[in-house]
This record gives sequence, C-alpha cells and structure tokens, in this order.
Amino acid sequence: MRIKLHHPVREIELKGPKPVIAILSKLGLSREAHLVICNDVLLTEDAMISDDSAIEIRPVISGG
Amino acid sequence: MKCRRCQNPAAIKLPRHNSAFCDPCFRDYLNKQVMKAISANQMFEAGQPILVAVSGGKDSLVLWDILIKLGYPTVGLHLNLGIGDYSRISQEHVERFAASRGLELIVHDYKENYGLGVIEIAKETARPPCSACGTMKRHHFNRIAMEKGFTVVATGHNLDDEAARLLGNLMNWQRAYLEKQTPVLSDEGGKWARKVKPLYRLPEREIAAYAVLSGIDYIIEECPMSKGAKTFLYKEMLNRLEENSPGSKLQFYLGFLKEKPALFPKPLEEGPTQFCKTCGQACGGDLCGNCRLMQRVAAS
Repeated sequence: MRIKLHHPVREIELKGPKPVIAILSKLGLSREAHLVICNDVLLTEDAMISDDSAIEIRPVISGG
Repeated sequence: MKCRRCQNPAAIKLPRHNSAFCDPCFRDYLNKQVMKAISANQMFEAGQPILVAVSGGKDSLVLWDILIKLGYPTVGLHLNLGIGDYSRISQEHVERFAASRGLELIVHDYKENYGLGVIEIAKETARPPCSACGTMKRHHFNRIAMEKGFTVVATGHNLDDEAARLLGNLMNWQRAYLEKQTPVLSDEGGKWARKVKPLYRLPEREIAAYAVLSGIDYIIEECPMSKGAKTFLYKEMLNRLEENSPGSKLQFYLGFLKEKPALFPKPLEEGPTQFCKTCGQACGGDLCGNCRLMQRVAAS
C-alpha cells in the first residue's frame, strides 16, 4: 500500500493487507495524534487496508 | 466498528468516551460539546456578534464553521504574519473558506502595515519569534475587535493546547500564568474585548476529524518558527498518557479549572491600570507590549 505522510510530505510503501492500528504501530505513530484517511473518508483503527490501497496519515498536533 | 448511537458504520472511535460515532452523530456530539463550553462559561449570548480569529489551521476554521451552524453572527479576522509561503498559504485557506460560505473576513497584513513580518520584528527587537508573535496577536485581536465594535473575540484553542499550556505552566511554576489560564479572559470592565475559547473541551484529533468530515480545507503544515517548541513535547507526553488512560487530558484540565478558585482565591496581579499612550489600549504601564515592540523596531 502507498502511504502519504506529513512533516515533511512524503510517500512510503508498506506491505498489506493490514489493519489501521497495525500500520500506526509499525510506523511508531500515536493514534491520539494522527488520523488515517482514504479518499476523503476517515478510517477507524479496525479498518483493513489492502495492499493496493493509497492512504494518508495526517498529524493533528499543531501549535508552537 | 459501529456508531454507539445509531449502529451505522463508525467514522471515528473515541476511547475517552468508550464509544464510536458515525459522521452525523459525531458532528452532532461535537456541536453539543461546543454549546456546553459556551453556556457553562457564559461566553456570549445568542445573537451577540463574534469576531473569530482565524489562522487557516483546523482549529479556527472548525470553530468558525461550528459557530455559524449554531447561528451566531460572526466575522473572521486573519492576521497575515508575513512568514513567507506559510502566511500566503494560510491566508488562501481562510479566504477560500470565507468566500465559499459568503462570510465577512477582515485581513490585517503585518508587512503592508509595518513593512516587516513577525520574524523581522522579532529579530529587530531581540525577542523570541513566538513571544513577539503572541504579543502582537493579542494586541491586534483586541484593537481590531474594539475598533469594529465587537465585545468578544473567539479563538480556536483546543483541549490539547490548554492541557499542554497547563503542564508547561506547572513545570515552570508560573503562578501568574496559571491564574490567568481560563477559557474566558475577562474584558476588565470593558477595557478589552473578552476572549473566549469555545473548543477547550475538544482534543485536536476530534477537531481534525470534524474538519475532514466537513470537507474543511485547512493548512496542515506547521508554522516554520514553531520547530522545536516545548508545546509539542508537552502534547506528545499528554498523548502518551491519553493512550494509556483515555480521558486524562480532559480530567487534567477540567480538574484544574475546578480547583482554581481555591488555588487562587485573590488575584495575584491587578488588571490594567493605565492606557497605552500610543495606541490607547488598556495596559499595565505607559506603553502596551505591542507598542513597546514597535518603538524598539523604530529605534533599531
């Protein structure tokens, strides 16, 4: 699967299928600090992502 | 995963409520949280015009969206800080949001007004950029609100902002800042516009989710000057706690607000006692913080 990440914007590949929670865990990303989005749809942590999918993992933390 | 209310497929899981919601039920829940914050703190009355400070980020645009949906008359205020592409893109997001909904927007551009952006002003005055930026923002929110006849300014500060600020203030035992940390900052008898934070009950994740579900296009990039800011570390620590013990952030902040009257039975400092001799705003000395900055810029 293709995964778009931010800060900086980049794309990585990961082998699927995998549930959202496992993807966040594998990438070491906090589920409290990120949203997972596919085609403008929010995905819950139990959603299964197939190998041919493209998703975005969007950080939600802001401020300085 | 199913919505706790209607059993339709869930759009978001909310561990702090041990539940999950579909899109319509989640947005309804979020609107109610904002209504609860407004009424519990008497932030403003129905029909009272509100100046909404909008940066182009998720929080302020979601706040503006919710206030409109709740029927409040609003005008947006965007400060263009003059930070290169970041400020240009931020303003574009705000303008698109306002134009698509037919909303009135006031834009105040630092470079157009002062010939310098906030980074240059910070350099000229040897102030940390975030400190100079905060001073200038407070001044402009207040000045523009009062000039345009608004008695209240709403900002998009969320639960994570407030909890991180509380943690920072405790780590440094900033008693004066702790005393002033509240969802409503007084107008000091009409000397200032009242500042309110209607999103203080909502974590950033829920606000960002609302933005995605509502199709609100916001700037995801962070201010380049905020790199390395302690706020991010505090937020990360609080999120680790939240993951292990859902509801921790809200408990931390609401607990503080509950205990505050006992912690600070009397004000530590007097309110504004004078008026700035340059701009006329209420302040604690001859010059307000913003005019002191501007004076130093002029001198340099």
